[in-house]
Amino acid sequence: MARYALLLTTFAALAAWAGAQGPAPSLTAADQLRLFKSNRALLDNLVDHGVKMSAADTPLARAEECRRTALTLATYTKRAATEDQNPDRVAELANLLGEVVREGLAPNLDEAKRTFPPESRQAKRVGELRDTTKHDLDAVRAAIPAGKVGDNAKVQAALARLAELRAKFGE
Amino acid sequence: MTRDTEPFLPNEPANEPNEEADWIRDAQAGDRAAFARLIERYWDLLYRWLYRMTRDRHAAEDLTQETFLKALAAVKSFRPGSNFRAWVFRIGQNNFVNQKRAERRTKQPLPDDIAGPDVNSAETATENREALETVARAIDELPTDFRAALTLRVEQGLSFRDVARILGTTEETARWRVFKARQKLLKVLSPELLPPGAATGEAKE
Amino acid sequence: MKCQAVQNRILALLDPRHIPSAFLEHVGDCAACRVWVEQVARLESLIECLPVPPAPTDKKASLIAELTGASVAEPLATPSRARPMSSPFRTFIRENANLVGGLAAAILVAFGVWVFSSSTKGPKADVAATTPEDPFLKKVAGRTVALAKATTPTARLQALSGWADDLGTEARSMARVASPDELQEIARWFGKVKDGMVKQAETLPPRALTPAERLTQFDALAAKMGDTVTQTNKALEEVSQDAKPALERIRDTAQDGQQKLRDLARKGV
Repeated sequence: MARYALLLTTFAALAAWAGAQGPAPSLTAADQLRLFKSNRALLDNLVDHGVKMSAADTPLARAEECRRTALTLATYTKRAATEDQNPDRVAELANLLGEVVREGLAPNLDEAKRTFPPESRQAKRVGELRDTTKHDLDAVRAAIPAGKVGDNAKVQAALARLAELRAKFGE
Repeated sequence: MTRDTEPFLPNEPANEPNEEADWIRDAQAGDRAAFARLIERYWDLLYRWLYRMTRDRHAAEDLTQETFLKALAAVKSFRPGSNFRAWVFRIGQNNFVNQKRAERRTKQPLPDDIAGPDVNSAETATENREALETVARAIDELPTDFRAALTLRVEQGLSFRDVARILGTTEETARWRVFKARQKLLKVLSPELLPPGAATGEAKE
Repeated sequence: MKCQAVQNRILALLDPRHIPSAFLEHVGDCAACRVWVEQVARLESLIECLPVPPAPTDKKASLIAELTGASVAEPLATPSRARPMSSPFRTFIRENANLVGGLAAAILVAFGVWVFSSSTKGPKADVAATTPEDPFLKKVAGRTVALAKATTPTARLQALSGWADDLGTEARSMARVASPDELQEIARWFGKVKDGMVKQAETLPPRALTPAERLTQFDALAAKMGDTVTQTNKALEEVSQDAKPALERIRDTAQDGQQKLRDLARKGV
């Protein structure tokens, strides 16, 4: 009896643990196709950015391509907010934008800054890329309309993460 | 506002009105090969404009084909002596508007084959490519009406009168839209457009 | 004349690079307006030169070929999308031109009504339901970030190889539901990534890897391409005819990549 109770407890604990991991995301074929159609053009752009990124063999060149990638994502995010008015999509794209800026652009800019003398043309370009990134992030925030999109919790969380990131780029 | 003269249309071949008039007349009589010559002349120009409008080369190509098929079906209604290019572009504009209304936009692409600046190459080439990319993206951001008018005027080299005809509006409105589009672009792009070493051109009153 | 007024007039010109004499005097005297005019001129010139990507298919040539192939002047029915017409179909149209024309018009109208009514329902339905995140989009964005972080050719090769894998998997997964055009798009992306890999491998500096390391690493990458070939061949046995051209393209691209990587592995050994 005790062993049976132990087994039950163990199974219950395992089930609780598995449940806490969250269900494995599964899309229906219809969802998968619909998402592909929605994202096809963005995917096309990202493939091009990625392939160009692979040919960029200096931190500044990678930073340039990261900025272009970020701008692509920023543009799609803004359109999702203003034209599609789809908060889920806005949050998803804003998070991807944040990932590109945080994991790709910022470290390459830092590395590029360390590489060149402060008065050099390349150092000036690093400064320009920082400024335009700040502008891009500000523009995303400004484009989010209040209401269904702007008041959505996921969108607010995504924008908060972008705001944190923006703060790291300075005023 | 100052009236200026009709522009030289840089994208059109040297002025051969008789040749085109002959093709149109033959097409109206049912000669499909004659219409094919008109397609040869205007397809790339129309595709270019519809790409600017749709920001999607798939949609632009489909719309271009759709437009020429409709133009072929309606060619007998074209008034000889009027501007064939403007007439075709008007059909293209209607198709674009209808598509925009009827279909949920699922493609929102950006120019996908524009090469990014190569930081290892000559500075001038790099700056031009960067500038073009920046301008293209800024134009993508313009409201549809402004983008349509601006690209018809500047990229396609059409007169305000033809722009108005294509967009189904007055010449004054066409001119105003181009003015507003240029104004918006300058506001967004002025740092990128500054010649090196120049201060910002602040207006003084 | 005040600056703002002059600038507004210039912006409303047919071509702001050709400034009438009435404004030239002011521009000549005003440094700020001179700079501004240069900006405007540059903008106008840049707009004229904007690049346009090529059309994805060759509908122009198809339509011209269709029109010039017919030797008899006849009214042409206008389907909503032009397709190459087979001879019997062409004969039917020739013999029933009025009927076909009217029918085509009716079909177009009905199609337009259907598209309009579907789309008016569509957006509301989409907005009401939650839109799931796209795992494939996340993967692709993730690969781009991985490439941004890759500071060595070897790291870039690994990232590209993983990416090629993702694309092959996605194509096989979508083969039952996507249209041939959509699958061809994935095949095209696969080709770009494979070309990127081969280019990285070709331009690897000689001192980056020892010959033995080169052999091991490139063979491993070639083997992964080989896996894609195998998996794609399996999928080809199960998919519809429509899906086969795109999958075959991926398989052939992977085979080509595999061979090139093997050759590069042995180069200089």
